Amino acid sequence: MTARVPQFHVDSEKFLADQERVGWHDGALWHLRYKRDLATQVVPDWEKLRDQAAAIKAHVLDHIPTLLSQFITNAEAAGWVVHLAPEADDLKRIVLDLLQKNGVTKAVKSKSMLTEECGLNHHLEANGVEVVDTDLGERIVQLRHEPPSHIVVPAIHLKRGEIGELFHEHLGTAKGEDDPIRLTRAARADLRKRFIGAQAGLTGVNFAVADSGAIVICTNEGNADLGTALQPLHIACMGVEKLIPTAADAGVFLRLLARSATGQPITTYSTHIRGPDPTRPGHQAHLVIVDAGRRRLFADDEHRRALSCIRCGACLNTCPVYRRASGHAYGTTVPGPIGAVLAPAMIGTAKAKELPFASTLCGSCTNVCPVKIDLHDQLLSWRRRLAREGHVPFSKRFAMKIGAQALSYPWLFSLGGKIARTFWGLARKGIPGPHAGWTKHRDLPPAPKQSFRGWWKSDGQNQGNPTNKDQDHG
Amino acid sequence: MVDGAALAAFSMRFQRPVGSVLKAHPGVYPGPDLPASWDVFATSLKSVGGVLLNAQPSQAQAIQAAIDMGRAPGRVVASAAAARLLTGVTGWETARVTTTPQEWEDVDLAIIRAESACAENAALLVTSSSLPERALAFLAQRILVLVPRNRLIGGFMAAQAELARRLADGEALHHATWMSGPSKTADIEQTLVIGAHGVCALAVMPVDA
Repeated sequence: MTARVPQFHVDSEKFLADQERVGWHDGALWHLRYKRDLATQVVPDWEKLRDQAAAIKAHVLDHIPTLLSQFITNAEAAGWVVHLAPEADDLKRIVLDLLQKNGVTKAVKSKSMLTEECGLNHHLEANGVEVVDTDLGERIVQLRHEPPSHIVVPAIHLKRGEIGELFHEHLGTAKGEDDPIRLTRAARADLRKRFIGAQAGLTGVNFAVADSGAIVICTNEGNADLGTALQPLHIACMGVEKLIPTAADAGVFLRLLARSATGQPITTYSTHIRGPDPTRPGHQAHLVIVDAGRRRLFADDEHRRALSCIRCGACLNTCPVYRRASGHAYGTTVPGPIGAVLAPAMIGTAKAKELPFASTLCGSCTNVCPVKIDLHDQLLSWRRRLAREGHVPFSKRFAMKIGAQALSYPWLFSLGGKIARTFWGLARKGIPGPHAGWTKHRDLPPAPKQSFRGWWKSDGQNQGNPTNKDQDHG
Repeated sequence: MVDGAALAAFSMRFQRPVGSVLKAHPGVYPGPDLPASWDVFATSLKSVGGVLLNAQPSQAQAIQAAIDMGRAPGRVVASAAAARLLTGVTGWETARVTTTPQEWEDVDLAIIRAESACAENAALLVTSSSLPERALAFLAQRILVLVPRNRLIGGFMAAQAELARRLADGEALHHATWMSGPSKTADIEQTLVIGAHGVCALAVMPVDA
């Protein structure tokens, strides 16, 4: 969990300062969104699939105690040792304890947003266990001592030159080498040694199948498979919301996940694992089931649905705010629209008060969400609650009051429009004062000469269409 | 065993209030009826970076050609299930049952047998039943996957439903993986690189089994 209070408006400035990079970042993420669109268009039942996924998740959220008990029974029968971690500290304690008991000094870890969120790596490192993140993007940010900026492509905020520099320093690649293929090969060679040398493999869990005690882990790189098939100890960490009733249900999510994330028809490796490997005597498999604040989201009727998230990243890729501000601006492990919905419940409204405002409420996140979380409605409802709880600054509340008044009285709205058109030219050069941010990284469109109502009264109603396109804005 | 009291306390946190209307499971979703066509499979496989090989002029000759195609004559290891399909093929060894899977680190080409294939997404199923030598499929540089010609399934819903039945019916499967193409990453500037940590190349050959 983040220790400091996220300050989106301050932290986003760092990334926005380099406008060339902002444009590039925006484009890179939009490309992912574009690939997602292509992939979904060829699936004949895409919308039915989303409906099914949403219905399965709704069922799960209503039946966690039953599914959990069924899952644990089947998991233990398959040889998993199951641990419950009510808080993040419990997760850290349980994992460290297991590693120490088994004399583990070197562990490899595949991607797990849950362990990021709980600060597991730091805790293990502080206690003398070397933990190597094996997802390439996560390895890159780990070497930079940075958190991931995206949940699927953790190093998307970095350019190849910066990664080249980093690898030159840590992996001994040639100075100036920035070819993605050669950089990836260098990381492959280095991590291969670590997969083989590690005494334990830590993984996340994409889905936990109640009726068989299997977990499903999805990667494109094969790192979760190499990080479980070689080491004598496997520890899988999962949030309690990862439960699904059957492996047949997993089929629905496997068809949605990679298409939504990167536009692939399925992740390269979708692996089901059930307990320890019988071909390797002494192999141990542990499963840590975590709450760590999920109960607060669960208890919140308006936002419980956000627990359905399968971490595909589609809402990040499509979000006009995320694409320009980048993930670190959010200050939370999960950024973007879903992050801004989770954070107020997970870290508290006081700490997360800025995040639900880091959105245009355009609704694109809701449209792409594979499990149909009503993300933009949830952001709006958080805003309402933040206002009720007094977390909205005076300037914003004041502006909202003025707005409400203007919209309540047509004469005031009309007068306001006239004033705005008069001073528009000045505003286009940049709004001064506390709202300067609105015009900092973009220009207002030119003002129309007259209001829409004025135009309609004079000649608009006699014409087919307005001749001046700008009058659309009147 | 998880302590019953601890589980009850943990579960309580996720208990809907008494009297809540609980949503039922929507039922099994059959998915669309997609054709079990090797042409569709080939298109899907190409899109995920894999190659489809034909068992021509004969199965043994085609497999031999795939082995000999290697850049350097590296170590070729076949899983026990695949070895049974390699009569008449030379230049390979059978993976022996090992407790130290690390020994496959220097394998150039792995030959394995998949249990089924799915046309929708080019996914190939291997499980602890067909591939107890699990690490072999991930440590090798390249992989040749032999899959029975009559085990092609059209849509993934049907393919996964079959696996789900096996898992739920108590078949003692330790692992089951759908592999779709070679390993890949786009973590550096969104540039697709084939060959991340798993295999760098994957070829599929439908065979008579």
